[in-house]
Amino acid sequence: MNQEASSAAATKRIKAVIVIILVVLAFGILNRYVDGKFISVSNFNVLITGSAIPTFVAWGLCFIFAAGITDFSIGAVLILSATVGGALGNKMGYPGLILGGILVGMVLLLINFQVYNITKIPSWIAGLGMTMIYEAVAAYYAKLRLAQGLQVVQLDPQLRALGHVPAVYFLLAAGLAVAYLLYNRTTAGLNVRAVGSNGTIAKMMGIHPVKALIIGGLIAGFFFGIAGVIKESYAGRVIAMTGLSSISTIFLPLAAVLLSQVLQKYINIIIAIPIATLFISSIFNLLTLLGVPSGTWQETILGVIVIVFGMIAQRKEKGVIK
Amino acid sequence: MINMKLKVSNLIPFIAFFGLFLVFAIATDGTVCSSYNMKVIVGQVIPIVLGGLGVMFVVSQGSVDLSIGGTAAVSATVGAMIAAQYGFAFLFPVAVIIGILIGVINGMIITRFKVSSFMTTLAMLISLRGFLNYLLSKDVVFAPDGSAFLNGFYIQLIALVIAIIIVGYLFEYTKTGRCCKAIGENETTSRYIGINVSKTRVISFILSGVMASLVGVFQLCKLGGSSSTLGQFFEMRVMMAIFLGGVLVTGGMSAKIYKLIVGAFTIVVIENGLLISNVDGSISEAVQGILLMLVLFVTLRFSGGPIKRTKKAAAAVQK
Amino acid sequence: MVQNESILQIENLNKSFGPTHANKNICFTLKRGEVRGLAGENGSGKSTLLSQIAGILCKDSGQMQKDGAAYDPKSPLEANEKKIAIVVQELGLVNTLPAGINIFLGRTDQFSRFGIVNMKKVYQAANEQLEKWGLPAIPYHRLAGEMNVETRKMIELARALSTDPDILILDEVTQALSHDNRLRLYEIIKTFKEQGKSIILITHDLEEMIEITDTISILRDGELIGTETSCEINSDILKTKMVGRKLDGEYYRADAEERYEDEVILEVKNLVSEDGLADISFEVHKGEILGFCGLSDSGIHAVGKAVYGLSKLQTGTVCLKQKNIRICNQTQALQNGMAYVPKDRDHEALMMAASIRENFSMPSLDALRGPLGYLSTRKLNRMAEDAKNLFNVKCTGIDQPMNGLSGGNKQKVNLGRWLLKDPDVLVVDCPTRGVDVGVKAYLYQCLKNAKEKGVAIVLITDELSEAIGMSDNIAVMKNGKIVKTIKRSSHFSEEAIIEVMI
Repeated sequence: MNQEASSAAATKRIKAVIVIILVVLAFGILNRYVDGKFISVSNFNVLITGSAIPTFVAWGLCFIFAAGITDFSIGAVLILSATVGGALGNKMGYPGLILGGILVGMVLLLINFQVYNITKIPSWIAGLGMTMIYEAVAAYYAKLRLAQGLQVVQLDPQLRALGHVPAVYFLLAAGLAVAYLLYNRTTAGLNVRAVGSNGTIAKMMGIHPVKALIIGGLIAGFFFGIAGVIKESYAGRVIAMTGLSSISTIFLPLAAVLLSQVLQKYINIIIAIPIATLFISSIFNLLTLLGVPSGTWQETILGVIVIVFGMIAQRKEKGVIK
Repeated sequence: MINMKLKVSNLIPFIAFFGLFLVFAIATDGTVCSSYNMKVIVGQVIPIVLGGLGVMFVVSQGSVDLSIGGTAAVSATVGAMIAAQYGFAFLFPVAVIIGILIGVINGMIITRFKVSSFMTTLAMLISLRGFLNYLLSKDVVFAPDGSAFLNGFYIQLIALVIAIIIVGYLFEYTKTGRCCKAIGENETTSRYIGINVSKTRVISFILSGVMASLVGVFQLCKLGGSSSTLGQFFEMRVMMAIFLGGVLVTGGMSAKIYKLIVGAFTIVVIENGLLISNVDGSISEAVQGILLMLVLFVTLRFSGGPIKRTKKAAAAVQK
Repeated sequence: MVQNESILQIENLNKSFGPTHANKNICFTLKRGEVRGLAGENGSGKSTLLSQIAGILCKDSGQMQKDGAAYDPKSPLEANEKKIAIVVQELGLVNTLPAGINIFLGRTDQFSRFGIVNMKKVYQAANEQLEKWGLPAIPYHRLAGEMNVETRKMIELARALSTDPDILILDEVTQALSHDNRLRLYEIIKTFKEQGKSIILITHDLEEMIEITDTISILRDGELIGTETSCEINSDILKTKMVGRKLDGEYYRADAEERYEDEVILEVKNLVSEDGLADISFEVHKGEILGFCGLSDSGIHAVGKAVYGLSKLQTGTVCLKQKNIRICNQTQALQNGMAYVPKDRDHEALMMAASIRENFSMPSLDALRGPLGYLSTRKLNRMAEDAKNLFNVKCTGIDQPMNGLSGGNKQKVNLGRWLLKDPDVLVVDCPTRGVDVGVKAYLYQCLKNAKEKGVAIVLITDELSEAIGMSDNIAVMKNGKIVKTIKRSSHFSEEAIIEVMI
């Protein structure tokens, strides 16, 4: 039986290697079509910088999904944390930027999880309500600023290092380490996963479900907060979105998480996430280089990627799927 | 006795609707109740109910269809493009065929590959939105000639009434509708009784797609052409309406067409009332969010009640 | 070691689930170093009693004392602290976490420094537990969900042992284990005894129970009717005490001959399926009751699913001879006069939150349809009302949700909705599971009536007495195959069946 298992693992590994080679090969061939613009240091920097935000969001989503919750308000949370981070950053420098952003992320997620817990409205529907509220707050703030004759919060150009090379590399590395430890090596992370996977058993094993979930929400909020900070640093300002349009900002990280769930069989999901985000960003990047404008076929392909990876992830699933 | 209590819980959505209506009527000195505004309200309710009729089949199974906004936009846009070339007669057939196609794809992915309906239809929505932008980037799409009459209030109302009669009949009084609800109650049970769950599920997504495409055509004619915001967040509004009306997210026998209609009115009255009360646009969105969650919370709170009560009654009967 | 000193005392324990009184005034004393078995039919309240001791369920009334001090656990964790641990019947592991973590889940803080859990220490501690009790190694880094049932049971056992309990509760653990691991478990039980610790266990294998326990308590219909010394008892006496009544003609069939028409209704040939059927062939005649007996993993339940077109068949056919139709899926089965009553009533058969009306009418929708597929509410109501009266379902009305009914009344609806349709073939899987004696007799009467009407019945059951009492022929299954078919006229005996079954 052990031999069987190890040989099965071996074929799995071989398959994985073949897939990686194919992907690299495909990128290599396409690279020639775009005159080598794809594989270059400057483009790689662009790629990494661009995928930093979705990577952090995806890490946060990982904890939320582990807790068995789907939350659409993340896009609006990012906007708020970026705005507050920017405003505080201008007043207090880096500490204000970072702490402000993170604090907003954590507080909002704490509110969300409390709302889901208390109202018992299914999280994805209540999330829509929270999205409306957060979007409105951001929009109202922007409007106030404009009414006072000011601009939407614009981060001091001297404070924008976190959204650019080389700081993003450090942030990503640190984020990876923290996310990995929290997800795999802490009581809090393990408890969240246990509750999300099988609440009754987790409770039987002595885990307090509500407490575990809320800690999970705080961890996720932490990552969303950092994503907000990077967002503010990257662009210098964020524009408030209304009418639920902030939801579309989480599609890419969502696709990355799904892809990571497929990769999970080979590597830890936390490590898989940056790979997945980079992979998807690369496809978009290539498409842009090939002259496909963003927002059209790129979006379509994103949708197809999500479905295809969803199908692969569910290949052996036999239970009831709603 | 129990019947009466059950009815009380079913009344909550109605009470919520009339309560909100009353509040807005007072706040706006009756402007909300003016005949002109009533027409506006009904006009906004029409697409939600029309689209919701199809989605009800999906929701009653405990699944969701988030792709209808995209379906509406893409099917209507393609329909209008073809109608512009070959004539108005092609508008509806083409749109409906595309609606069916999207429904089949959704249904097949969900039943064959066991991907959750939430993920599948969300991804479908992203894809369709991208595709819509691609279509619009090539060409400006106008409503085809001769379609202006579709914009009329009464023709839309008549279309809605006919749709409610036909689809409502299908949902409430035929085996198909009952099977959908049974799947929502318990999918394993339904399969063990002998229902073809996969077929029923695909049919429900097709119906959802067809109704969405009809809404898309009406909306396109209303705007006079297609735009990238056509049908945007339509799916969220429909879902909200259904759940506000008191349909449980798990689906099942609690799914009723009248609940969809009540929910649609509630959501529109909230939006319309806030608009007329001159509430600041961004604050209005927050208030909407809060009100929606409040109504949902109350509905859920009371829909859990009757079961407990009947349990006690059953214990009494046993003794 | 002080034997004879009591470690756990229970007085007048009561527990009800809605209308079902699952435990009635249970008084129970466990001594140090005692290995106690609990015997009783399905639904007699064994698992309920153990769940209360282990803190999974809270008692309604009564007292428990452990080591002379009041004991009233609110959670399994609290029970663990008082040194009582349980391995439950259903699998209780978190599938998405590694096996090693599962052993210490909820207690991982003791392995962490600065908030980081030291996995090496966790796995080491888990390994120590296994070595201490002589259990085989488990690949701890792999996810629990990827492991087979037996390994998962071993993980649960290790989890229970890691709390260093004074009382270990084993609820049907052995049936998931291979021979080797069973022997290891017996060793653990012996060690426990030597250390003056106690064990309470449930197993369906009565011979095994008599072999490994010191004493056996017998439960019947929620009451503890006595405690016997294992070495002074045999499985026959035990069984009579469990059932508590002679199997007489009033209850089951009175005749001793198989009796049915020659016409073959259902013909099953060479079924091989993914869920464990290995070449099954049989025929059921008009008016015949064919019983299926076997251990729970022998494939008897898979037969029912396969016959009704629910499983994926690798080879083989299910044919309705009379109509000359091959059944490939459940929809065909429904439309061609077949009926299936699955084993798990609450999760597989009934829509628990829906009303009695919906549950009664669901299989008969085709018959109730009017022109344009119209299902009139009045017709549905009348049909459900008639059915309710016919089967004497105790309820507040046909609008009452299913989950308000008692087990027996639920089962009346479950079986009745099919009998209403006058099916040609009726497949019933454990029809009297968790049903009290009165309803049981009623359900048997229903089956007898159906037989008289000429329905071909496949009766799948884990109660031997039921198969013996009702069947014309009994097919005994083992490892997915029919190993023996016995005729009623050859005088069924439990011994003869058990002999081939195990």
